[in-house]
Amino acid sequence: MSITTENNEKMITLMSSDGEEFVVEEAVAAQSQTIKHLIEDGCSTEGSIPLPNVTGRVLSEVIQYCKKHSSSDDKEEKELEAWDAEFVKAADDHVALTDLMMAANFLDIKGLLDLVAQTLANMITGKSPEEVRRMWNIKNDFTPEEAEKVRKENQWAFE
Amino acid sequence: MGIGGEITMPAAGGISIPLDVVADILCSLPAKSVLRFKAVSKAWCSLIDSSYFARLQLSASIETNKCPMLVILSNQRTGDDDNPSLVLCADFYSLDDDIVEVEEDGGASSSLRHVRPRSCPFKPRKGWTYALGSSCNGMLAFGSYSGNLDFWNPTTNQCYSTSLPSPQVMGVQR
Repeated sequence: MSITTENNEKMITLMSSDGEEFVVEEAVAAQSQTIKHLIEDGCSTEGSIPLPNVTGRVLSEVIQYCKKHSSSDDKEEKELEAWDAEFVKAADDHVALTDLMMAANFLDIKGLLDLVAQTLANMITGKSPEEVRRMWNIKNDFTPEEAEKVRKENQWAFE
Repeated sequence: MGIGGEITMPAAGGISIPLDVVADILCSLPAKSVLRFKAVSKAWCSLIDSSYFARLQLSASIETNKCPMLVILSNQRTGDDDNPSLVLCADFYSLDDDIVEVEEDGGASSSLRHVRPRSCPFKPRKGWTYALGSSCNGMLAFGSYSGNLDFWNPTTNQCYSTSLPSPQVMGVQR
């Protein structure tokens, strides 16, 4: 549905995978390249834009990020950095961050993707392969011989 | 916002992570961590070895300007005047323009981030001179007057040697 506010801002409605609706300014939503393209293709003129890969909980976080980043000027860069740091700190574990990252990936929001990727990277940089497997429930499918080979080839990385 | 719980705790019900998202995360990691995570699973190993990932990581490094680093090329210090140690110190992405000789490899190694100081795997034979040829995408190429062309990736320490097909064509004389 396309409505206009007093400020002449065009509003659009986004619908999460669990049916929650969010009405946001077009400029905010268009931070997502995916949504921007949908708007350009005329998908926002009839009803809401469905986002089947993003839950309402995650979408509300994403919108929070987009709002902040569409309203800030370049001169507020320092403040924005501090805000970003608080934002990822609030999503305080790797599960919430992974959800956010997958949403940023699907919605194609580069700034958010980079921010969350860097946060997750900082989280795992010193971890062992075993710890990383536990974080994301990854199955170790190497045979002991194969595992030894990978380790030998990259010995210094394990020291 | 956010779900509570320990970072290292496996999530109840579990969360899995698609490989394209993994690639974006690994891009932000230092080389040492990336190489270590080849041991996570076969899928991660293939991803890290892929040319797709190499390109992704390279463009991410250049974009964030995170990668310029010092590379020290040091042949074995023999104390032999005929085979002097060669220590070069260069900015990784402007190697062609900016080669600086330093006296001690130890002195400059503190500037190295993410890469352990290491010797060049190619040892010139006595009397041969090594010429630092060029760098591209983090790889270094050396031509030696013995007719070899050697490639070295100092970050991963992988190397590859090839003979020059035709010294005349390549403008190198034996």
